[in-house]
Amino acid sequence: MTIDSFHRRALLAGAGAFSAASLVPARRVFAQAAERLRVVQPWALRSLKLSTSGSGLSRPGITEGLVAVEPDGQIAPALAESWSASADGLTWRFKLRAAAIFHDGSPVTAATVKASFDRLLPSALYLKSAGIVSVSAEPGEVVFKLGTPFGSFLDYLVDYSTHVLAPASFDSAGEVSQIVATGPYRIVEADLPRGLVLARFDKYWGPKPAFASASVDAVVNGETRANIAAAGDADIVINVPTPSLSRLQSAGTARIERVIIPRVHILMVNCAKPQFSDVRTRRALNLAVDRAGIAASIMRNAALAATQYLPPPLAKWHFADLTPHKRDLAAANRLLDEAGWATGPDGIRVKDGVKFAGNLKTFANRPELPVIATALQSQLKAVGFDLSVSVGEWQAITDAKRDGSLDLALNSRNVAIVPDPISSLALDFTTDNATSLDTGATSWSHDGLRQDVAAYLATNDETLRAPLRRRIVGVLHDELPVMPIVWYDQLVTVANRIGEVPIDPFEQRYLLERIRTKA
Amino acid sequence: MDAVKALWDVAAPRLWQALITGWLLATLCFAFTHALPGDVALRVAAARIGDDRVTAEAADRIRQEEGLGLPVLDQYGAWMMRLVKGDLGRSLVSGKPVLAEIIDHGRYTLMLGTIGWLLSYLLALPIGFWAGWWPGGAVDRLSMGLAVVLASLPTFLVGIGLISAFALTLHWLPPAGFRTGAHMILPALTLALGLAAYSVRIVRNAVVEVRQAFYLTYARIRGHSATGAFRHHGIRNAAIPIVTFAALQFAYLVDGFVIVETLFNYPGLGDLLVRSLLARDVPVVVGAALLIGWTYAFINLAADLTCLKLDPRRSVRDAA
Repeated sequence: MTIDSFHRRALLAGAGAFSAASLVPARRVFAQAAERLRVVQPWALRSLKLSTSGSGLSRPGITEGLVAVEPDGQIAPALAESWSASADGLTWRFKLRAAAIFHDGSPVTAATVKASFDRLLPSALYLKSAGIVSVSAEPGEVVFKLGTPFGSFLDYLVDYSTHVLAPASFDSAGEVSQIVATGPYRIVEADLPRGLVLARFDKYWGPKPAFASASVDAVVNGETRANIAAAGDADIVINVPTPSLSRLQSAGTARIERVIIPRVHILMVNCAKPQFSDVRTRRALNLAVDRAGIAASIMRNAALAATQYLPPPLAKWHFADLTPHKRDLAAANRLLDEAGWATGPDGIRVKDGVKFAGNLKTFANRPELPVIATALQSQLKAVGFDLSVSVGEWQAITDAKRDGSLDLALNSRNVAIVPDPISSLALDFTTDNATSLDTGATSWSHDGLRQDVAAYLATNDETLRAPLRRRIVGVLHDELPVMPIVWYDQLVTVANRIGEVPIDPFEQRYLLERIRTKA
Repeated sequence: MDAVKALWDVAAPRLWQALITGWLLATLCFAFTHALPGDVALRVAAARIGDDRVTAEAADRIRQEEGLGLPVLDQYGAWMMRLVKGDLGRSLVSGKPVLAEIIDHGRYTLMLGTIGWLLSYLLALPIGFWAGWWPGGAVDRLSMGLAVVLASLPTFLVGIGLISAFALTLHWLPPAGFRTGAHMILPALTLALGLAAYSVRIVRNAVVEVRQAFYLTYARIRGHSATGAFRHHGIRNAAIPIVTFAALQFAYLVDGFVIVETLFNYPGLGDLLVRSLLARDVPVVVGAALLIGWTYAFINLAADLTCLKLDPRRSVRDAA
């Protein structure tokens, strides 16, 4: 054997061994415990502050409020087992559960709940709008006094930024330093912003979770989430992109659950511009949109065509008697002719030297939006509207709205940031200097709507509230300050080993405590 | 003493260069992030509380609290003043000190980078050596072909290919994440293949060049065997271009991290940079740029010093 040939053989063996080592099915070596429920979500947990990251703590069931919203939209008891409101609507009493205790073993008392609200209310996201004057502790009860009646108080009380924390959660400066809450899971390891490892809280007042431990990992990229689901590397993957559907179905590692959530993809128009100031032009554009086509071909779910602004899960706000928005080109052209927009030689309408045209801003964080934008481009052309599309960051819409340069925008709105959509409706359609920055009407106001929204918020008498809801929705349906294009459905993948998974369209809770493995 | 002086002669200008390069890089990043269109406070607010929940009120509060309404030059001045005191500031999004954020994410990147880099040389050294020892042979031609293919493929495509094969088809490895050692393999391999595509050719050429050098022929004439001559006289000479190149590849790594970490949802510096840029978290972007610049300069310095040590001619000169 020559030295040269020896080296050749040694090198070959080395290279072979290395290649084999790199391909070892390490998954089995590093396999995770089967009793852990692995959840993958799109949201990263930035901090443990309830005012900024509270949703990341309430969704996996770490923190709880006095009340919670059920998947059907009903407000249900949580830490409070019952409640009552005074006849004038100014005093709300909540009876606490005697069995509830904090994760550190200390009891949940009226005094600790009051102390938690005292600390967290000043930085509350939504509950601040309820006009709470005082919170007091009485034996077994927490009492809220309001300055003026606030009809949607229970819905606002779901606010995760005021979920109840134990005194041990706060440092000497009153800041949250750790999360000691009451939910069915407690934090074992908080590896921010990557994820959380949770353990079952064995002394939870409600039904005990089946899984002794759970992990919640943040994976921002939608395709990566789809890969994780396809590889069977998570039990529940929240919000996988629609284009991955067929790939996931053929992978066979998980089933796909779809549920319509209170989110609407909307076409916004600047009503200060001559192309959109006349309601007839807005109605014409609305009639030119082929929602059924967009829903079926882009969203892959024909049920998502937004025939009215608010989607079916908001049952009290969704009305069967409204004429559904649908495509009618003849009616659209008739309206535009009436409004004085004449068709030019290039097929584009013109009025008083103004072209029936505009630039639409949208963004790619939601991958379907640019595709919908190009569909709209061709659909609106059919009525002589020349639409150009710019895809950028979503904030560009806000910037353009602020400086008045906005023509149109394709945006996405979560209409139930508070379970009662009155919160987003009030922000989007009844404020001059929009506090909700980029999803509401632009240079449009309606006195009747403003009065109805104020009246709705001021009463908790359902006999008064029901007709007000119909009137509010009716104005938006006829006036079209924004046009609903499609609703949105949440795609959740569930691994084959997992049984039934309740999906909360309000995105407040994953309800992990109700999840079991298949029998 | 001479050795220390020689070391200092190499190191001193590099240290100055590193300081100035770092400062320039950070200043440019500061200028660019501020020159991007749109309201910084609004983007920070969105990153803190979510796109759906951001309000003008929240943006205004952040503008007030973080001094984002001040003229850009004042903000730059304040940042420089803090930097001189060794303080990189706090993240606008998480509120954590920038240095803590960078260390937190940097340890993941360091681990991934080290494994990827080592893996690339585990591949490149034996294959490159073999190809260089028998130039024109089957291994040389095959490795050349593979190197061209891998070098011309963008990193994300290599990553997607590996995910498709090992995670989605064979189900051997997880496609993304960071919790276990198994999660490291695919991202490290993606980096390694990209690096090895270049280094295998450098190793091969270095070996070919040294094997043809007159001093090796002379060693053979003196009666050394081919391998003995190479071991005694060739390896150190061949190592010089390889070490220089290995250091240069760090730049590729920084580039590669951004893509690989995003693709594999790996929580390293690249992931932090992308997120911070999207959220306009200026202190983190600038701090990370500064530290990456300095690390790059430091690695170049280390490579220069290694070459100084390896270069027999320099050693002889120093000894004389």
